[in-house]
Amino acid sequence: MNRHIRIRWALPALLFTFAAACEDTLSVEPVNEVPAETAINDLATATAALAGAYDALQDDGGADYLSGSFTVFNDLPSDDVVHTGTFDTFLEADLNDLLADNGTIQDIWDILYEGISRVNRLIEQVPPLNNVSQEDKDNILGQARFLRALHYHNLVKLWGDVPLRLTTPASPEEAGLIARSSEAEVYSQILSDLAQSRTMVAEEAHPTIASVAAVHALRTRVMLFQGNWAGVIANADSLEALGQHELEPDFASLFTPTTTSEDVLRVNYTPEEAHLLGWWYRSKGDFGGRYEVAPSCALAQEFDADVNCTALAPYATYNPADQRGQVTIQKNGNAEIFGGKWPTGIGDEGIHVIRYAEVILNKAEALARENRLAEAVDEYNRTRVRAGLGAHLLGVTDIDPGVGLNLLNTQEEVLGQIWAERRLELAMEGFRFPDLVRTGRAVAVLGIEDRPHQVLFPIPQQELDVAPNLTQNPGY
Amino acid sequence: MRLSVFTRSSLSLVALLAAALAPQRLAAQATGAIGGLVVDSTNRQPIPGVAISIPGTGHGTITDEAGRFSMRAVPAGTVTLRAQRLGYGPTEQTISVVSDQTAVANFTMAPIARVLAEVVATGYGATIRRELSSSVSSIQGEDLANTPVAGVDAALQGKAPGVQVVQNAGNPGAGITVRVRGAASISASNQPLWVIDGVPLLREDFSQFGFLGGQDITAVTGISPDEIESIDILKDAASAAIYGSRAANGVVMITTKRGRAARPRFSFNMYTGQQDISRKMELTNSTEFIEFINEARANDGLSLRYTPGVDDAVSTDWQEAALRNSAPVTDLFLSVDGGSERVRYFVSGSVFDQTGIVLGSGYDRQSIRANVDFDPNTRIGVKTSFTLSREMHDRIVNDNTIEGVFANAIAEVPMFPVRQPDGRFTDPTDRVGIGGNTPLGYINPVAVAEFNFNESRALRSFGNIEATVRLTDHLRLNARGGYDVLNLRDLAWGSPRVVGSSDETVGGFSVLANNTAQRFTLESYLGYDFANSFAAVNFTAGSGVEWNTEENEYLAGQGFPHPDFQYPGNAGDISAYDGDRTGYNLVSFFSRANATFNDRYLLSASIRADGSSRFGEENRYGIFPAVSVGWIMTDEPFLAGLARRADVKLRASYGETGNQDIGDDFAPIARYGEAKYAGEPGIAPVNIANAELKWETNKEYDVGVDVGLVDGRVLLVADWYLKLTEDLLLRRPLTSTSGFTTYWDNIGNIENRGWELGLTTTNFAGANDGFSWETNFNISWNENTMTKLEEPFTSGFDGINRYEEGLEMGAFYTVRFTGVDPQTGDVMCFDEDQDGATCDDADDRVVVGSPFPDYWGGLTNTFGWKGFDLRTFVQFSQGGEIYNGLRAYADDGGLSRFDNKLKHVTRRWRQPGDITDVPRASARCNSNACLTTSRWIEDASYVRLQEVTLGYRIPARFAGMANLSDARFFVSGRNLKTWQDFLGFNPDANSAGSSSNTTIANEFYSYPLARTWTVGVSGSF
Repeated sequence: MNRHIRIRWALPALLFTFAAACEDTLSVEPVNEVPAETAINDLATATAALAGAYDALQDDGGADYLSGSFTVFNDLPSDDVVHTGTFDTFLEADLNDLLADNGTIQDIWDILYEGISRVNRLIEQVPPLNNVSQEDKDNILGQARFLRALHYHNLVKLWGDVPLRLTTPASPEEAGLIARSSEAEVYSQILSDLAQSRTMVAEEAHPTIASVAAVHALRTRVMLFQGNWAGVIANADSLEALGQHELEPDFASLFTPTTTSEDVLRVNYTPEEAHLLGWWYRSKGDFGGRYEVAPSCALAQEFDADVNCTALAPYATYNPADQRGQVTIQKNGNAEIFGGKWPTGIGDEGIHVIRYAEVILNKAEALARENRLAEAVDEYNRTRVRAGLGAHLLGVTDIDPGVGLNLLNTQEEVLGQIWAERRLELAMEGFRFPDLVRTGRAVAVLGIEDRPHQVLFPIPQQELDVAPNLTQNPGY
Repeated sequence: MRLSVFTRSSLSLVALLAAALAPQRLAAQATGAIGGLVVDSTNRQPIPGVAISIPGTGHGTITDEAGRFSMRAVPAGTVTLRAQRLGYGPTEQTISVVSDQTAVANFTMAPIARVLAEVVATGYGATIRRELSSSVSSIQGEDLANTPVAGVDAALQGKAPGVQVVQNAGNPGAGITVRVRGAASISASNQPLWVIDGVPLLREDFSQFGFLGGQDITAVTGISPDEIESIDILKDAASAAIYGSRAANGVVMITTKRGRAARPRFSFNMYTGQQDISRKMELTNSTEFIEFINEARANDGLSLRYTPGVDDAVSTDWQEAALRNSAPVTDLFLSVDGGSERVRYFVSGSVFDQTGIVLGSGYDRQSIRANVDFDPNTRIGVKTSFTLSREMHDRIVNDNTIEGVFANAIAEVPMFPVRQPDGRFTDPTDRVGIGGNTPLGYINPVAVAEFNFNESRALRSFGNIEATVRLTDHLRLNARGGYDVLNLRDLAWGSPRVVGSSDETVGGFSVLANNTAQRFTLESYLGYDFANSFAAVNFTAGSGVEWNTEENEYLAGQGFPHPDFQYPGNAGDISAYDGDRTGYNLVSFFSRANATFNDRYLLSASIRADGSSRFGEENRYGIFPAVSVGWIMTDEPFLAGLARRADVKLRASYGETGNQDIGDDFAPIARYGEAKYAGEPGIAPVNIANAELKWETNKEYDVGVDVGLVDGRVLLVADWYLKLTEDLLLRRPLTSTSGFTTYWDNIGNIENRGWELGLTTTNFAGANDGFSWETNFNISWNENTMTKLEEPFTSGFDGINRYEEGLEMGAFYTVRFTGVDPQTGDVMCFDEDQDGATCDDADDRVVVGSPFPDYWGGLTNTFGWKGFDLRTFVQFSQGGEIYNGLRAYADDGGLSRFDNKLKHVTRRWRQPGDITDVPRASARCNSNACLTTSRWIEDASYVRLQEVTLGYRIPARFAGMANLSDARFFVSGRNLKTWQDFLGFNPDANSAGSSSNTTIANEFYSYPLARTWTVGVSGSF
């Protein structure tokens, strides 16, 4: 009798835990995530993965790509932007005193390769899908290749030789074996991706989707860096022939949440994806910013030579004719200048990836390099006139009034005017530093004769630690 | 006088077996049963493992961990019952057993050596210290009560050898770092497992605010220290291995108070007090600041910014403005306990309310507990423990933000008043200096404290039901179900009224976030006890399952129509949203055998197999064995001479434990997650999977000795240990060209080795209310080395913590500051690679300090005389360093003119020949003062007078007049004085908080520590 009672108590308790233990207790599936191998399995999921690839451009989580650090670090080491805040990694960039362990450089590198990795997976996983039409596949893969070309160009213009990663590494060990490829190899890959993209993407223009126009536009940029002047001109002409884009008459309306016909490609933002450019560039208080970085006085003087940088006199006027000045450089109540191209600190305006004005200036420079000077002047006049300034005329325009007759005549003089125009038009949009490096002026303009290696960013120290085949740029 | 209580016989194995079989043989006669409870005569605590026998009959049983026993099939009639246990004097009583009835026989046993007799919870059981062959530290609840801190973890500081408690920040309810025998993991948790009444407690930070500044919170504060009876810390792997996969960092076992079989007793304990800042940071005043900045500019050929005599007209102490000088703290605790042999209860309620010393901060908790024990009959015991609590953390942002309260109060320059003459708060549009060149650098901290709030509110319930069934006199079945359910709601409001803040820009900002964590556990185990005069054996085996889920949502809104609307539902825009669910489960099988032979040879062995859903199918199960041996050598006949003067026990153990506490529940699976783009739904890969991922394993050796001298008036417990951590669960750095910067891998080894020593001496015994004096001292040394690490990496501010094979974890690694050049006033640095470039040359970095102390401990002295008692507690930590990161702004040579400077810049170099360690002022950092060097690594050693308490117990005759059975008044001071060289507030500070393993001893505007005075009363009736 007693024994029966004991068993009655013992069995349920023991069985209960054993039953629970033996069941599938240890197989827990993720809820909000899906296994990678089956994540891309039809048109809808492939389209979602493409959106995920574009999302890397935003980097709304870390704000290290267009949303923030990448854009700023293309200007901060130049003479256009100065550091006014508290981040030491930004200070290093401003002083052209970058160290290999600069955390922001690492973050930028990381997000660029994260973007490439997302694209690589698309390029690997979309072609085998048998439930997606070839046309849809092409559209997705063409955009993917465009994005890969854009990421690699963003890498090569800042670091020079970079690792070329075109497939997903099979294992972490394999990933660690990577070495740098030469600039020439990287450029060749960029052009190869763009060539394939050209045949795959849609003809129809769309401000936020890479189309044929975007491929041509990016080629003008890439070829300008390569010195392929004929290529720049040909692609600018192809873009023009599409008739899809024109300069927006009102410069100020380029920097609003609304797209314009000048947008060859832009990245849009919703309030919950906000970018940080306004937050970092704008003045504090009512202007809504943190004022981490600011336009330099030298840049202000480009718009108005009378700006006195040593006295505290207010920057009373800009060249009133140049509409760009008051958009680009604004003043707070204490006459301190701040960057005005991002109208709010909230940061839900779009950011330009490529706008038509850049293509025009790319073409103008290529024409000048080819010694087609009159055409070159005509070309860059398009942005001058749009800004409300008078057109220049080769052989007539006095480019240094008051000093004596200094006509716009030579190739050097025309190039100088194009570079000045580029600086005004594209100020703080991430062009100045690579432009100075590309045109060989960086060391002299920035006064870094004692550290000329700073024209290339250092390969992040952490990368060297984990991938022993990587080499550092000289000087670091 | 030493009592010899251990009978030493040498029964053969045959006799042993015969005894075990005896009950079955006699089962057919006319019989009754005996049941009862055995308690300690000094503290009324139940005693487990007492051998109850009827001499000469072969009848015997052992008390369970609740001190209860039952014996069946006893022949009717009058019998003599004997209770026998190591460490206690034997007692006997005679009772009469009536056929088919249960006779009750309760024992009260007197301990013969005070400390060695204490009951130690060991996980799935309990033992007394004398029989323990592994390393366990025990702390009584009364030693922690009345400590004016929110969590029991903070109260443990300096109390137990081998346990390092780090108070990362001083905000009320802040997360505490507890390291048992050093840090043993890099990417998995370094915090111990907390087990309350047998159920693993939720410990983590469930808030989604993600505040830095050491300002994380943890779920450990959810238990009121008033409810705690005792704490046992399982330190070595041999004791902890019974918790297997989660025991790598030790186990903190909390036992709550329970009812006694007596008439109702009402107990109360309350205190109230005032807090103020224990130490302010010394910063420059306006005159010193403007002189410094002007000099910095003049030195670099720049124009002056300020006019002395004009711009220093106002000199504000912003710290003072952001502080409360008498912040109240109050604790109220009421309980009633009592009951009968069948039903015993303990019910309590407590309220703790601590206002922070910094404006806008505070913490309060209300909790109730009901512990009810119910014995339906002598064979079955049921224990229930339930608690409900509500916690409210009023938090302030600090650190690494330009919108903090105290951070801004330290940073803000002194030339501005807190409020303008018209009454509004000074803001960044207000200006001073020549031509108004200097705005207020940061938003006004007092305005932030007044208008903004960040609340984290936890609603929590945890508890368990446990049944013990005595299947036979020797075999017990325990079944336990436990749960811990916690909802943590965050609500933050950033008011547009704070001028210059991002909240103003967006028109008000609000966050509403919820996180619900649930844990359910089910365990059952069998216990077998056997004892005769030769051997005492205890065997436990069982299994358990644990289910965990965590579900969260997050909503942030901005742009509010009215500054009094504060929930995101009223916002113009939703600026962020998120939501997720995750979970993991554990399945365990465990067994342990304890044996004592001849009362002096101790052997314990355990093994646990744990399966975790966090690992891939092939690697789910880990096996964790342990063995320990002990020898009570003074009980040997040949050492009888020594035994008259001393009690000596030698211990040695080896054990393995595991760690699976990684943040990612699905690391072996490659996944895609959400990556939306401009309103388009998007997906993107989230990780590189490692299907091979498995446990991190600790292998630990421990050798110890317990010594009692002079009739137990001197008690020494010493241990040496070596803890080898292998297959580290490491978030291994990976070339980010793969798309990811890290992946989970098992790679790397860490070694911790150390000594620990606990010494308790009764200097004056104090018989008959005379003078008594007891001293309790503990000290620990630990050395940490990473013996294997594939890729070095850095963490912390400016990568100051280095992780590299052969170094200590997180060793401070930067350029070595060698002094200030007497000729130029510039910072001089050691040129490690001898290439000429210094101070900003990454190749010149060397190890310059340690984030861990060499040794630490505590010293408690307790004096008594008549009804008075006085306790002093000194806590110390020596030999570590701390990186004082705020000097990057407050001691940068004048690079940042928006930040106030440390007072010591008044000792700066000014002219050739000046000998000083403070470099010259330089607005452009030409002096290199703004560079990170070992100049900002400071000595973190300190000695702190942590507590002085004076109490008075009212004589019984007066207490009786008030119908009280006991009443004591006390006055107590905490954190009264700290001797330190550190220029900041708290040499223990770590701005990365309690959950960070890799950023350690980094100070960056963390919340200062309070000094507290309290008065209180406790008693019962």
